Amino acid sequence: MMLIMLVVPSLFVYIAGNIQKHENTITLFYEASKNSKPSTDRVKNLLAEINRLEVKKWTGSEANILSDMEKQGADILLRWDKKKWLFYIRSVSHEEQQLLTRMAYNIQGSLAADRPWQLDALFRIENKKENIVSKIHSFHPTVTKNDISLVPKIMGLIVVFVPFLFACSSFVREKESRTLEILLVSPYATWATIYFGKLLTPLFIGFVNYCLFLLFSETWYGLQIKTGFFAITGVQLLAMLSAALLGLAVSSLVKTQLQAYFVSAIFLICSILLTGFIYPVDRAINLVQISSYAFPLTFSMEPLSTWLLQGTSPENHIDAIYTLALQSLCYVLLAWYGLMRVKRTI
Amino acid sequence: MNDLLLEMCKLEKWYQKHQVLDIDTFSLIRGDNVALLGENGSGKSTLLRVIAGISNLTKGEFVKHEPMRSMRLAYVPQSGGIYPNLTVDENLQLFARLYNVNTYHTSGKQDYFIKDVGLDRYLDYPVENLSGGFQRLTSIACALSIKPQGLFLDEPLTGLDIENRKKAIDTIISAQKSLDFMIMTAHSMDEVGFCNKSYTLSNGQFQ
Repeated sequence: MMLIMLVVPSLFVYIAGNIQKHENTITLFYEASKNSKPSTDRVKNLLAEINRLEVKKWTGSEANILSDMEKQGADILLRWDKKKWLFYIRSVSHEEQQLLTRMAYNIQGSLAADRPWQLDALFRIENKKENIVSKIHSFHPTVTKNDISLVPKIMGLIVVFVPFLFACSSFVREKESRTLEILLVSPYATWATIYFGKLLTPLFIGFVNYCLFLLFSETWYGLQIKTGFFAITGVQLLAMLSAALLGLAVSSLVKTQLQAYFVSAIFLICSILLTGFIYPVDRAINLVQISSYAFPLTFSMEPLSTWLLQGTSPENHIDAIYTLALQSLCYVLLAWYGLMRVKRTI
Repeated sequence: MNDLLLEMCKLEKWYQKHQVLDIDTFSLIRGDNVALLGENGSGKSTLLRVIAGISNLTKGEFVKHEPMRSMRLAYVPQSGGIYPNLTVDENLQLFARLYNVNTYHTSGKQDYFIKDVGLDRYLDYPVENLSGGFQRLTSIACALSIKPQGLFLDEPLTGLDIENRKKAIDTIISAQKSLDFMIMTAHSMDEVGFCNKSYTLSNGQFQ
């Protein structure tokens, strides 16, 4: 226990300490034309979602792009090639590679909605001997295989599912093994403390999961911790709370652990299918759209994804956060109803 | 007055539209060893749970007097009541922590009827691997391990063979000396010869 008490805060402090480690303002030069695909407005909207970007208009020559970029102090150039009819994203330094990649994916996503256009991003990497190596990355629906955009989605899914699973099985286990009566007769436990304990443990486990995932996503996938860490942690904690409350309510209503695990499996499947994890919910039929409101992941995944991939601040998803808070409130009432039902039937 | 622990009056307990308890008065005083007798479904366990404070009343007056409120109470349910994936030893430790009594560790694990009921050989066994009878004895031993002042036993002898039943009865009788009260449910008078009061329930009412 002492080890956990030491390790978890250390983990949190380490992660919090990594905020802004890689975050300086980036100057992006932008050039487009009337025929640009996606349109100028669309690209500007996509760029607006990315934090710490200073967007300027490109005035350099076409012949000597990289040296002009250096002269004008450009970190990134986003330029529409009229001849090849595609967007080029060019970077002077590989430091911004992650951001550049995400930007390319964003624009590519928009392109793919029309037809499978290729998008090339050019990285100019300087090594210690001052030799300049240029590297072109192509983003094309048919050639893009190593897509890390699933990392935050899976992270969001597990962070929400684990508290649900633990909360769902914990209370019914006490009921089934008749240890709930033992706890209630003991001097320090009341209904409130037992229920609170059953809520707190899944939240704690979920939070440890979240911290570990952030650490691994930085170490393995290079998805750095960005500004807005505390805000996004708040959003994820709210989602975990919502999931744990729903789990607790289910745990109060089911009769056996087997039923609880069955409901957990359904929750997992629904979280994958009905929240936008695989299929976009906003294009689905009304029934799916309404059902999606029952799952915390619907509202917690997008803020986490955009924050981790593009550094988008959670304030851009304020509607989703309010809905998540409202959802948590509904599940407080549901959990309370579950508790009242157990008290009546025991 | 200090000997009066509990008073109940016009007690009713309903599960949805089904009345399971309808009792006029019931009181408990220090030194009581009460036996609640009756057939299956007569309301013994429900009454025991109400007295223990686990179950709420639908109607009626329930007064728990000060001496009982500050007492260390233990409850042995009809089945279970222990954590099956933990060992016997871990269950005993958990009970000690739950009641904040540290005597289990200082007494060398021998003091709590473990030996009397023959559980000393199974201390490191997960409870789920023990036979039903030994699981029952573990549950009783855990309840007694916290040195309770009040004890609730819900059919503690069910599922025990003759030898273990005798061991369990002897254990309960020796524990009685340090108890302020004990309430126990059973099916027949034979099982509760050591009790000084008995009530027979039928359809939720005292006969």
